Amino acid sequence: MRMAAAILLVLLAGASGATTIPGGGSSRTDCLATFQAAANWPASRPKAIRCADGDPACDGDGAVNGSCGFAVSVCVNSSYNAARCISPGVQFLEIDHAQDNGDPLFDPDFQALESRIGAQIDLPSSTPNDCTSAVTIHVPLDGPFPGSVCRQGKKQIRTTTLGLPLAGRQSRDTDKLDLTCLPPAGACDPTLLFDGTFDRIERQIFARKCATSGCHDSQGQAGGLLLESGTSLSALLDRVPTNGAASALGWRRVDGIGANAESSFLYRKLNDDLPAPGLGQAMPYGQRPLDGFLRDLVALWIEAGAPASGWVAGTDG
Amino acid sequence: MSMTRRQFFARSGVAAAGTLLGPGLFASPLVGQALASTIGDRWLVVLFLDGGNDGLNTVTPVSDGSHSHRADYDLNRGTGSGGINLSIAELAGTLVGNDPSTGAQLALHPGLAGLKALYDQGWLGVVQGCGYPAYSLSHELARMTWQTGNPQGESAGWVGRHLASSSGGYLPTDVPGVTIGQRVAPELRQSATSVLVVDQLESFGFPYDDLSAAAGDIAAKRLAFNRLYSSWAATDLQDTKRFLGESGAATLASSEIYPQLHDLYLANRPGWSEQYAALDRSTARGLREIAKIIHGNQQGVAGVDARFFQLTNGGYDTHSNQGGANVDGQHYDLHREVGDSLKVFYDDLADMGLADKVLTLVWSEFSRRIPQNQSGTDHGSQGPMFVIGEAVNGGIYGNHPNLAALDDQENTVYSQAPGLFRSTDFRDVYGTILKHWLGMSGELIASEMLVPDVAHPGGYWTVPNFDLGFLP
Repeated sequence: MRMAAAILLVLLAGASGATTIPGGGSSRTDCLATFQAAANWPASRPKAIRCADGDPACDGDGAVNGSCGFAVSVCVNSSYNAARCISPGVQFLEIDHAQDNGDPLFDPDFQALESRIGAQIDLPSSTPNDCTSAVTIHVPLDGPFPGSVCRQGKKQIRTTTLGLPLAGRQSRDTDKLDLTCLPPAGACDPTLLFDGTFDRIERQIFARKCATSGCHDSQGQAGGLLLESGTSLSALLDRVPTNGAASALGWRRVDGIGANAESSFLYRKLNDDLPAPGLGQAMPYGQRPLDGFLRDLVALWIEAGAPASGWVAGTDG
Repeated sequence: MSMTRRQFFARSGVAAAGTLLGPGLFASPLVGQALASTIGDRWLVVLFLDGGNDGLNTVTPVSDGSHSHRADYDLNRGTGSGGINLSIAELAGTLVGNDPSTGAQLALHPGLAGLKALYDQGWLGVVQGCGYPAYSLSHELARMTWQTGNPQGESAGWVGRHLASSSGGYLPTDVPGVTIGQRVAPELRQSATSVLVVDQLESFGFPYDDLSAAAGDIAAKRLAFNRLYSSWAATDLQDTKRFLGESGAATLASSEIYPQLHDLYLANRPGWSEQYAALDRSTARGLREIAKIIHGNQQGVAGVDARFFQLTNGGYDTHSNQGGANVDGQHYDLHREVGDSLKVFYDDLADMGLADKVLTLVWSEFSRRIPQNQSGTDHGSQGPMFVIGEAVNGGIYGNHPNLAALDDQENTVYSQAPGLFRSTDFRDVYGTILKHWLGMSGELIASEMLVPDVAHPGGYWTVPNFDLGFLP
């Protein structure tokens, strides 16, 4: 009976598009923090979002571009289920992986959401239904893989909330919201998702594997190398590596002039082909090696002279 | 009541907000006191935009001028989904002056309508292209550089060094500075005097209550602290111990006086309090606490002498979801908070008759990269600073950076070479304030406060200019 009441409440809240998503945990504390988002999954009791890339009904950007955008806001002291949960007020609320402090799982979208909380919710708060405005959480597809195949991409937002102490006790609410981006109908065509080979390298490899917190991002700048979008090409193309052993071999970070993958430190690192001492670790650091087709894609791009735009033959599949 | 020595030191650290313990700056207290209070009947507020504010979407070119500023802007800042481009039409309501070197029309971000109003009043100085050579993209390193005023590393803050200098001349018995927040602002850190840390005056007080839950023993604890502080202050054998005693006593006294300022302000200025409250944002709340202290000082409340304030607004690390002119965007939201809060603050000060006595400096640890990413911007180099107050010579200072000649990291290039794009070193901004607002001599600033990069080759900050013109 209680569950039925909760379902009814959620459905009523969903009339305006965004529903209240309690996020899990004890129903007695689940109102401390909630999400507001257009939950659609599972259909019987929506508490997550699953959406095909480009589906205008749920993908905020409405475009087939390799990523879904989901509008999410956070509320504290929710009245969604007042019969079961009365918030004592919220003292503290944080989102996992929202700090750009070297956390390999750091997500700038989570940081943006946490910034909204800091700006728009004055903690401690006892204000009922005290909500942030919505932040777009981008969920990229996994891929494309050979044969224009993509796999679904996922993110999970996790929050930890502490209530104001009441009679010497402090309540706690941990919540999560699952966001899934599904491949678009038909093939996952790289030429529709990316502007060209280098754009594909930058977004499918660098953004996901390299320009992460504490590594080759603004904050970490490991090895003096920035691989963030917009600056990676100038940081790579025909640049002498800071690694002394690599520069002594005459290599470049990317040997565009020679159009030679073998004398490109980037490719050597990704291919774990580091024959001399002092050349450092294979990349991506601390992760599984890149799929072979992605390493081949980088080699083809370099051997075509590392062009900033356009498609190099063999890299658009 | 028993208290261990360790507990006492820990408590002193919180309450006295003693910043950097050390006797080194006690050298000439009498000389210092004789030269003290060069800020006179004025106040200084420092507002830090934490995270790296996107300067290019804060002061934005609307036209090319004699260069290609607008065209370059449009090349780097996209439109459509995730785009953060501020169109000329969107900037029409927040136009300010022209770039001094190229004549390009400039505008503030639409969210900064409050600052635009202050600009129209002639109370806003926009200082473009502020940075330093060999910039850091690390939040921590860049923040430390700006907070200390020294890219080479320094433990004391740039305002703190003024407080401790022979020009500032403050003693351990003074309480000249207040941080609005949870801990002493690095800008105010030094070894000579106390800095209060105030979140809300209403709940501000000496933290007695964590040693014992027993009621009625506050007086005993207070007496114990006073005795300890007094006995330590009386010693002339150990400077550090004496500092703890004197600054602790001063802070304990302040912790009992300052909460009254909340009630005084509410009683005298309830309508103004409501205006801050209506904004419902932390910057407005922080500035209201500062207004309460200034009002108390103006009303002659004994023991209220703070002249230097610092507060922080976070959230500017807009790697994603930055937004353009959309009112729901993160950058718009932050700018609106800061602009509207400062407008209410200065309206309040003007009503007190003090708008020409309070100078506010707004800064961030870096700007953002010129080309945007999918929905935001990554860390960059130079950005604008703001100086605000009725005493300010309102206008545009410094040159807009050259967006057509970016460095290897796609950021604008710092240069001290004469020409259209000569950068403004942020130390020149500090130096102008130290000289023209705090009354320090240029020689003292350059020798003790902000030492030029003379050891470096050309291109560094070797010829300071502490007369940028935004202050008379």
